[in-house]
Order: sequence, then structure tokens, then C-alpha cells
Amino acid sequence: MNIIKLSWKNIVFKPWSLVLSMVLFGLGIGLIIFLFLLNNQLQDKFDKNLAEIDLVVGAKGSPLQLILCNMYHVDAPTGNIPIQSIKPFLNPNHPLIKNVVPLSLGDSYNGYRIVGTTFDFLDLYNAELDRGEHWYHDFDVVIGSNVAKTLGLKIGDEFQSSHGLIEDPNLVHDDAHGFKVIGVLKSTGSVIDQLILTSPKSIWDVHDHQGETTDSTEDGHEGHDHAADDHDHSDHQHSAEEAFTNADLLENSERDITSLLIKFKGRNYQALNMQRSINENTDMQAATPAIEINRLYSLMGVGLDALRAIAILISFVSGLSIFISLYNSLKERKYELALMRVMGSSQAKLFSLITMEGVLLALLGFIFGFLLAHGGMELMSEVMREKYRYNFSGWIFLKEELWVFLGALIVGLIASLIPAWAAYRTDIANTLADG
Amino acid sequence: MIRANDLTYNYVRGPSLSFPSLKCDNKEKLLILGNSGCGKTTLLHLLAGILKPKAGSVYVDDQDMTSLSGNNLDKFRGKHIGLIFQSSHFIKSLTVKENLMLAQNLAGEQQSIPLIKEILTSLNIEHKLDSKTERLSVGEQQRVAIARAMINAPGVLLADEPTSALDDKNCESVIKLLQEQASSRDASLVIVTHDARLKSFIPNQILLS
Repeated sequence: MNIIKLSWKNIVFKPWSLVLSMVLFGLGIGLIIFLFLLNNQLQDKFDKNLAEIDLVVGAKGSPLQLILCNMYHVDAPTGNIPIQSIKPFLNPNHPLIKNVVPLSLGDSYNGYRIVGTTFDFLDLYNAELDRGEHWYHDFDVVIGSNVAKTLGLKIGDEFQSSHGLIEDPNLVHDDAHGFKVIGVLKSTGSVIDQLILTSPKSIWDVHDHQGETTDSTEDGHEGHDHAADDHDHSDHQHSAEEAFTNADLLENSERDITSLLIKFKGRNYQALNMQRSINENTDMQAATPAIEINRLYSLMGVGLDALRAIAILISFVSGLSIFISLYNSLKERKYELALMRVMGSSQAKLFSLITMEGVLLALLGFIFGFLLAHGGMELMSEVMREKYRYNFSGWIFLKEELWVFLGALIVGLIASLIPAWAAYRTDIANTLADG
Repeated sequence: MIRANDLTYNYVRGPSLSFPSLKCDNKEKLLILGNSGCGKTTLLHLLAGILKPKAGSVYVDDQDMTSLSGNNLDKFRGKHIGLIFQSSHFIKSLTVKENLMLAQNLAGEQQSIPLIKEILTSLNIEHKLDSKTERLSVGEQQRVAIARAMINAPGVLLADEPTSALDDKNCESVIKLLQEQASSRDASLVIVTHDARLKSFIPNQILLS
């Protein structure tokens, strides 16, 4: 029997009091850790998917929506832009542009977005094929690792796409040509894991087949009036050398795409001026991902800071509960403390006994909060995955949690100081005489 | 052996008390009798080093306790003096065994389960080794209190009103146990009480007035 064992025995002797202190303290700690986990994983997702893209060009609307839709694939497109308007950017000898990647969006399969694009899109995320081959042919798709894993798709499987990003049987392009899985990408930890990739032409053809005649859909798609069966798919077959490129876009200048992802050769004045020039002089808008994401961070930051402040407040109030618990127990245990003195305990030992109890209570509260936060994150990751197709995890551990751990112990220590001082000053003679 | 010479004590807002000198050798028993309020408990606390006398000295095993202070006094008391009170208080969160182990630990002694079993056996409560003290009867609690006071083989056993709340049968039982334990371990036994029933058990007496 030593002081640590005695502290432990004392705090578990009153289980309900222990549970109350532990839950109160754990809730505050859990909320703080949960916010760290959420913030860290959100930032990680945002940062990983920046993919060094300097500019996104799309239809006029909200610049944040443009970025969220075309880089993070969590929002609807702002509309479409005619290829005719983007011809200058597709020039391979453009003095400012190093790389330009077109995106045609609007369709999905079981909530996973289908992206019509070129092979350059893979380079943005350093994505490689895990198995199969690239989308050389029309209606061929290469799927991200999470799509393959979650939907159980394998090479050779076929499916019909749906309009928009919502899983709704009424929006399935029943009469259009189906897509065929011909490749699966290795996991990258970026948004490409959640995407289904094909050529822009396949996207156009699906909508041509669908025979829609609306000028503009909810997602900004323009339909074309084609019969479903007047299309000979053998015409679409490409050889490996005929993969869809930006040059093919130029040959379809009457068509639309959703956006262009642009990488500059350098960050000079002219490059920086391009955004302003596009926004002021064209019917399109250009947005800088880094700026929009920083704006989003600052918007989110206010909320996260407020929540963090509340969590810290809860923790301190919970620290108060540890103080009250210890202080009340002192009244009941004053004779025990006097007895310990009689049996040879020093005043310092009584002081350390009570502080040890405070620290142990805080430690248990931390463990409870830690499990609560990581368990909550893991549970929420399912919801987030379903809603945003992003992978969040409760199995990620941050160094900030070490600081929270130290903070929790310090709160426990501070909460126990006054009761410990009262124990230190126990008047043995009076207490024993009263007993 | 315990010896006290010309002890006086001043209460902060109360009277000054003077106590007669006393001596109790190893294996001897001393009964200090007195009515309520005459300073019996104060004298016991002075003998145990819980209170500091204004004047006089207390020697336990040839150590002047009044010259000790702080940790040294606490350690000395834990090792050389066993204390028994009218009400048997324990650390409620611990079992009988753990209470005795704590007494060994606080006195700086080696924790020994065989010794604990031996002393509990001598008091006929070895079967209560793992019981929580709250679940013991008053008589059993009194025996555990004696075991705790004796566990470190102190040279002096001080008892404050150990029989006041007991009926005649239990009174006799407890006083005999105290005497047996003190004798078997060569300890001095000093009892302060107002219980006149003890006069017949311990002839060596001091009357406080």
C-alpha cells in the first residue's frame, strides 16, 4: 500500500462521484480533441487537394462554389463554359500557362462524381493505375480506390450514370450508353480516390443520348437533342495513341465544359493579373484556390474558435467539479487524514495524496474524453463519407493531444491544490478530540 | 518505556494545564483516570507528540519527543507509539489488510502480509483480512484498531477511552486483549479513561483532577 494505490482506492471508493467528475471533465476534453481532429483532417483534405493548381476558370457565380465543386467535388457546378471561350488557355505554347486540365462534370454513380477529363488530371494528384488501363475509349472509366472499395466495382463492371450528385433513381440516364470500368487507381489520400474518370466526350455523349433539350440544367448542363440509338459506338473507339487531349477539345469548340484547372509557369505579375482580367473581361470567372480556401478557413475558424473556447470553459468548469469533489470528501475524511498523521504520515504526504487524487481524476477524465473524441470521429466519419465522399478517421492521433493531456493533468493538479493545502494543515489534536 | 516529566500545556484561548510526572516501563501498565474535561485526552496527545507541551519532557524509549519536530516526529510516532481511540476510525476505502499495510508503510516499515495475518490471528479476526472495515461489528473494529496500533511493534501503546462505549463483557474482553498484546510485544500500556471499571484490571493508576 502506497500513496498512489491509496489515491486510487479513495477515488474508486465513491464510484458515482468518480463517474460524475470523469464524465464532466471528459466531455470538455473530448470536445477539444474532437475539434483538433476535425480541423486537422479538414485542413489535410483541403491542402492535399490543392494539387498546386493556381487558377480555376469556370462559369460566373460564387468563387468558393467554383473551387469546392471543381477541386474538392463537394458542391454543384456554377454552370458551363463554352470551349470557344477558353481556346486561348488551351494553346500549348501559352507564355504563362504550364498545364491546363479540363473538367466536364454533372453526372455521378451512386453519389460518386464522374469527371470527364484528360490524363493530365492524374498528374495533378500523382495518381497511378493499380490495375487495368486508362480511359482510351469512350465510356471507359477509371475509378478511384475508394470508389472501387465502397461500391465493390471491378474491371469489366458496367453501370448507368445519374444526373447530379444525388442518388435518385429518377435521375438515372436509363437510355444513355453505360460506362464500363477498365481501370482502378492506387490510393492517393486525395479527392481522386473518390472520383470516376472518363473522357469529356463520354460525358457529352451521355447527355446527347439522353435527348435532353433543356437549355440549362440544375447543374448547368446544356442538353442536346439526340436519339438514344442513332449513335454507333464503334465510331468512338480510340487507340492508345488517340487518348482525349486538349487538342480534341479545340476540335469540339461548339461544346461546353465545366471548368479548367490551370497551373502557371511562374507566379509573375502577368500570371497574377490573369484572374482579374478573366473576371473583368469575359463571361467566365476565375478563382484562386489558395485564396478561397483561406477564406473558408477563416469562416470556419470563427466557429471552431468559438467551439474551442466553449470546450476550454467546460474543462475548467469540470476542473471545478474535481475541486468540489475533493473538497467535499475532505470533510468526510478529516479523521482519516488525522489518523494517517498519527500513523506516521508527514504533512507533505497528505498533500501529495490529495493532489494525486486530483491528477488521477483528471487522467481518467482525459482517457474518457480521448475515447469519446476518437470514437465520435470514427462514427462521424461514416456520415461524412456518405455526405461528402471524403474519408475521415478516428484512428488519427495528433501531437496536439499530448498538450491536451498535459493541460488536463495541470487542471487536475490546480483543482486539487486548495483541498491538498487543507489536508496539509489538518489539526490532528482537534480532529481526534472531535472524533 | 515512556516517561513524562512536569508537563504543562497552554490552550490558545483556554486554561493552562499541569500534569503529574509519570513513568511506565516495558511490559508495565498504567491507568490514568479522571473525569471529563480534566485534560485526559490532552495528556494523551502530549504523550503521543501530537501536541507540543509548554514545558516538560516526554521520553519514549529514551528519545526526548519534545526535541523532535516535523517529519522526524511523525516517523518516530508511527514507529514507536501505537494509538487506540474510543471510536475506531479507519481508511474506509481500504480493507482490514490494506489498513494494516498502510500503517506499516507510513511508519516506514516493510509491508508484511504474514505479520498482518499473525497479529489478526492472535486477535481471532484473521477471517476478516479482506473485509472492508465498515462491514465489521464494533467489537471486530476494536480488535482491528488494536492490531493496527500493534502492527509496527511499538514500545508504547496509548489508549484513549478504549472501553467507554462497551458493555461489561466487551470491556473486559478489550482490556484483556490490550494487556496481552502489550505484554507479548514488551510494550508499555498507558490507558487514559474515566471508566472506573478498569481500576480492577490495572493497579498502577494516576488520578487526574
